[in-house]
Amino acid sequence: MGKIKTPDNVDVEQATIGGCLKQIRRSNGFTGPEHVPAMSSIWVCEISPQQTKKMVDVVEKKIKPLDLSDYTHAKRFRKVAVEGTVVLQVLLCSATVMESKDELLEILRESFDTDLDAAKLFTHAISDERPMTKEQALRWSEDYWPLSWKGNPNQQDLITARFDLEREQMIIDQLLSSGAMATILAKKDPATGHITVLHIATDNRKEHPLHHSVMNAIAQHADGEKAHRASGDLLHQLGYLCHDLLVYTTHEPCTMCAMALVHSRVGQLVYIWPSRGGAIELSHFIGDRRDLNWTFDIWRWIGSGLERPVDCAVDEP
Amino acid sequence: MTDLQNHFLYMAAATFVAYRALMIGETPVACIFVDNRTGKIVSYGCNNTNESLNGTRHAEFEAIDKIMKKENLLGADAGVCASHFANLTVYVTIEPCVMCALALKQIGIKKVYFGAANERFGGNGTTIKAQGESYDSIGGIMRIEAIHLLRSFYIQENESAPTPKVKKNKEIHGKEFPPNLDFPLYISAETFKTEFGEERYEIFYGAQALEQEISPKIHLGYSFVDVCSKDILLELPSLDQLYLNKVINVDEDILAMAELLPRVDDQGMPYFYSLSDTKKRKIDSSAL
Ligand SMILES: [Zn+2]
Ligand SMILES: [Zn+2]
Repeated sequence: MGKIKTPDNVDVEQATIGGCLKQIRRSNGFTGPEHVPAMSSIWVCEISPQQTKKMVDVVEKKIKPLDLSDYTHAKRFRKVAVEGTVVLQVLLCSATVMESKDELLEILRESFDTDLDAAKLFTHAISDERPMTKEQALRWSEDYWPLSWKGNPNQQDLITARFDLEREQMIIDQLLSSGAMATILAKKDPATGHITVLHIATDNRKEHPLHHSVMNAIAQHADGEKAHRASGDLLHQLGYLCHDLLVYTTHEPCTMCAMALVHSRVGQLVYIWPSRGGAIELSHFIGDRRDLNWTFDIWRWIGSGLERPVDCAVDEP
Repeated sequence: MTDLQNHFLYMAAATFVAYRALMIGETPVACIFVDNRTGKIVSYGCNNTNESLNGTRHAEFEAIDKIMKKENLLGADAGVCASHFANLTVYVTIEPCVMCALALKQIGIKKVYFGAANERFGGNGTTIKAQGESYDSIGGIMRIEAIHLLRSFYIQENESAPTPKVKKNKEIHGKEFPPNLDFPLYISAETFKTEFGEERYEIFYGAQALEQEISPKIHLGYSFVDVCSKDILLELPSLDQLYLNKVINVDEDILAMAELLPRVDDQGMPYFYSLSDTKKRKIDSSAL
């Protein structure tokens, strides 16, 4: 892998870009070797080296499509010496994919006949977090399941992130123009990088305690999509839920709103002010938890606009 | 001895709503809200994410919004709204997700009963205990019924999908259920004893990977017909919406559910009464 040059406007130490955006990652606070990662459980199968090819095939074709979990930070195989002979242990999938061993065994037996017995199938712990340092990678590989080390992933994401900061500033200004707690949903053209604002919604919890601006923006998008489908307007169909949309919101989302963003499968979140009921950087780190099956990029706006604070209606955390 | 019959009665109603959701092509997760003062079911909701194209329209939100409208709570003072919901108890077939767990807290709910754990997104203890100490959420009531309804849904989904995504169509009757809840994740020992009685505490609380189910009367099995009440189902507000444009036939549904759902024997173990052909239980396609 060639080394990517750090752009001039990126401050790796502070995890910021152009003095405007700060990368929010739970792991930015936990870089020490003593940090115990969030863990999950995986199904592991023991095979002989001769069975490797067949197993790779089964995992790729039959098991991976069932698994929403991301194990790109982990190694697929590990060698273990059992009574003097070398066997391979294979990471099959997250333990949440299969409710029972039988179910998994059934899939494996379609390819392996009776070669595999149930005793060679077991669950094992793995670090859900990607290691931030080489030291962490080594330690977690030894303690749990082997991980690969390809450099600090947060720093790599930081220096490869591409933001048109002028355009970002315009969206922030639009977000603040109502003077109220608000959320913008936007779409980024994957080819040109151009961002189009789709919806702007304000907080309405005085009318209904659950009508926070994030919830309202998601509802607006769904209603719009329903109307498009009803009118047969195939050209403007934006696809399922809020898949990979960009979210800009004045305040760090609460637990409900943060989880609503997970359910809606958004691609990126930018918020301006951390808030008391926040479930991103204040607590839970929703959006940056792989155990919730969907993650998105999270940034806090630290550029111009902060001098125009918007009243936050949050009553309690 | 703590008799849980009342909780089963209400959970059976929630299970019925989930079953109707399945029949109209939605994910079979449902809830009902019961008024503690009258014992009446005041609202129900079933998952509506497919129809609404909105990933946040879970059963709990559907039920809450019906109450907000019916009770003229829209625009009401926050305190008035909260004190209204403080009198309601929620019965939901699957543990509320993190989003709904917090929504229930924010709206002012003080008590929740659920069936099965929500392995991926559970917000009352499975992944996060989002409600904190604001309300107790007590699981394990009609747990296997809730799981079986979901399994039935995934089988249907595969039959229509070009590339089967979740599970293969196979005899789900033969499949074991995941072990019972790890109760300390959800409620304190004290709460467990108060809700389920000392006698169940010894068996269930802190047990590892227990296969035994909770039944209304300890050491006594039950089936769906034993715990459901037709009268209560008929009193569900806006029952017709669960049938879309079809004739309401609760009797037929109770029979179908008795056939479909697993039962629990005197030892608390799940079993199926009739092993008839799964094809008989295919989705009512005219309703789609
Ligand atoms: Zn919120
Ligand atoms: Zn939910």
